[in-house]
Amino acid sequence: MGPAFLLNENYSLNIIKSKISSIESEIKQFKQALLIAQAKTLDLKQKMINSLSKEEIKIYDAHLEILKDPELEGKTIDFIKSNSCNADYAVHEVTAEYTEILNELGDPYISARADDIVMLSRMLILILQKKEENKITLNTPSIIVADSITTNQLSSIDKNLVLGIITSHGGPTDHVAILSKALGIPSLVGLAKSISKIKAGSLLIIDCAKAQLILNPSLFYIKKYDLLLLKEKHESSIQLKKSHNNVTTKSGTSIEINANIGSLDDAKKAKSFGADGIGLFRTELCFLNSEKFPNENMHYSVYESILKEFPEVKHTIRLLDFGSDKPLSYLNNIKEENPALGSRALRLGFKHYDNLLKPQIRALLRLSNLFNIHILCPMIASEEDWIQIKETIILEFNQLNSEGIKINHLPRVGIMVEIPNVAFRPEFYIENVDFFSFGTNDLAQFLMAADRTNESVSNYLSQSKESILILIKNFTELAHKEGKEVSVCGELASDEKCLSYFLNININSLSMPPSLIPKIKNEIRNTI
Amino acid sequence: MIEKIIKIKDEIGFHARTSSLFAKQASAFQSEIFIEFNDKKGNGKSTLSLMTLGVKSQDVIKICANGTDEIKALETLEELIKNNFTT
Repeated sequence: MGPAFLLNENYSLNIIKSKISSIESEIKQFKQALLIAQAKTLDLKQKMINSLSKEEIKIYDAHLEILKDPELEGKTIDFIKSNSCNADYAVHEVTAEYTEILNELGDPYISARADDIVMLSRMLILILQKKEENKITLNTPSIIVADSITTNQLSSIDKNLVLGIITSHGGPTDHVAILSKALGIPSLVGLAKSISKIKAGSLLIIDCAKAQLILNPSLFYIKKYDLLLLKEKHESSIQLKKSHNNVTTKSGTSIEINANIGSLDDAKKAKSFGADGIGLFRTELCFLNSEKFPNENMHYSVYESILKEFPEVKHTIRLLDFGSDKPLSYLNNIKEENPALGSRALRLGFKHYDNLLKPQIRALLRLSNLFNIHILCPMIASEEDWIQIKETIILEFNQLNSEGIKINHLPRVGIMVEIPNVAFRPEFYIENVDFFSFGTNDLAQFLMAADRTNESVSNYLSQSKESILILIKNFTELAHKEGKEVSVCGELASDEKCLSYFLNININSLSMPPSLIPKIKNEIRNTI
Repeated sequence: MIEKIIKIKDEIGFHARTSSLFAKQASAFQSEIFIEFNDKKGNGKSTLSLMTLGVKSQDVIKICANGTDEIKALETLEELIKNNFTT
């Protein structure tokens, strides 16, 4: 509920064809504008990388691809040359031709690309005219009302002041709807009829649960929704406050609730949302944009800066899980038919041992003098895999000590249980491995033979739940007999329907995205 | 210059994703790559250009490659189309 802020997106660009003196300098400016637009898009992608999923982030990759398109560049340059005209006019004409052709094809997928081109064309023209985009600057918390809103505008918004977004165009699957959902901003799209009646400052109520917009609500509705909002706010603030304490069920079962992190921002969130520790630090996320192999000191300083945010707790750090699905400039990736089943994680780490695994292991060992570090090994498929990595870590430990870099004690080393061959045979591992963490997402895709990144088979993944719970239960029973801890990370860890099951089998900890922690802790407190 | 006529079997044709995959593969070669369809000619290294051709499933297109690595280029792109754009 809040006042409407009318976004006049369609303030028109002023594009006039004019004769220019130097074709060369106009082309240079155009090329420069392309580079600036690419940099801006990359910047937005960076900003959003923590708030959006891998699929959603692809929106920005699609934009980058258009900005780098050879024909778009070539055609625009030809246009400037043959008309000896200004670059902004050329961009406008060339992109208009594209969008016209693409829209004529009448394919919804391709029309979405046409919308992207319109937005990028606008961005390029504004850069060429040295004007600023119509940024959304809110002074008071408001609901944004617009014909449409571009993903770029949405990305640059101050999220604290946006109470909601309503647009006249768009459906539930368009970019804005997906992005606003990921950002936790209530939104309603495709409300062309109602929107024309909204005046600036009108009071609005958006009820996403009912997909309802209430314009100029009566006192009755204002009171009703005030109360609802207050209740919601109150509940989440109580949950957040209590979240900073350890949690036990009513009958006294205790469980650690940890955070999954991959960046400095995540670590800050983990602390503020009341995580008991870091249950899964996905280290590869720190180096996706790196230009070259991160060296030992880079590993050290990146992790140190992140762990410092939340220093006193246990940090479970997973060794790099890169694979051929993550194109890295410094890894000469060989294309694989099935990257999830291919040369990834430790398999790749050993292939490039001196460049990938070795610097990371050394950095982690050095950091273990300062922090309570547990090393988690991904994609272990067999006893040999385990022995190889464990011996390697011991080797590096001895090596460091012999170099005069004193490492106080060998950190605990555990296995990420995500390959069925390990999940089925706990007896081979429980004696020698220090701890276990179930990676339920990968385990699900391997059990169901269903690629996690392939939408057409994604319905299979959830059907593996029961089997995975049985595997976890059997594993945990045996591990506990040896006094070894078992945790669960991945989707199932934050599945409220699995909570009582995990509590019953005395799982030691669950690890999940930081923002879910207060709610899950609250759930546990209310469990008998 | 060499050319080849190929039928598109992918369910949708040259839409956003497949055009992007094709352009990416084509860009790896030095040769010029063109697609001819319905009297239109598109730059094989440009996603935008490929999308504008409006190639649908079961359509027949002509791929032309011209340059030092034209044979390898044509083979690779033909393979890509035959495998329904899975690389």
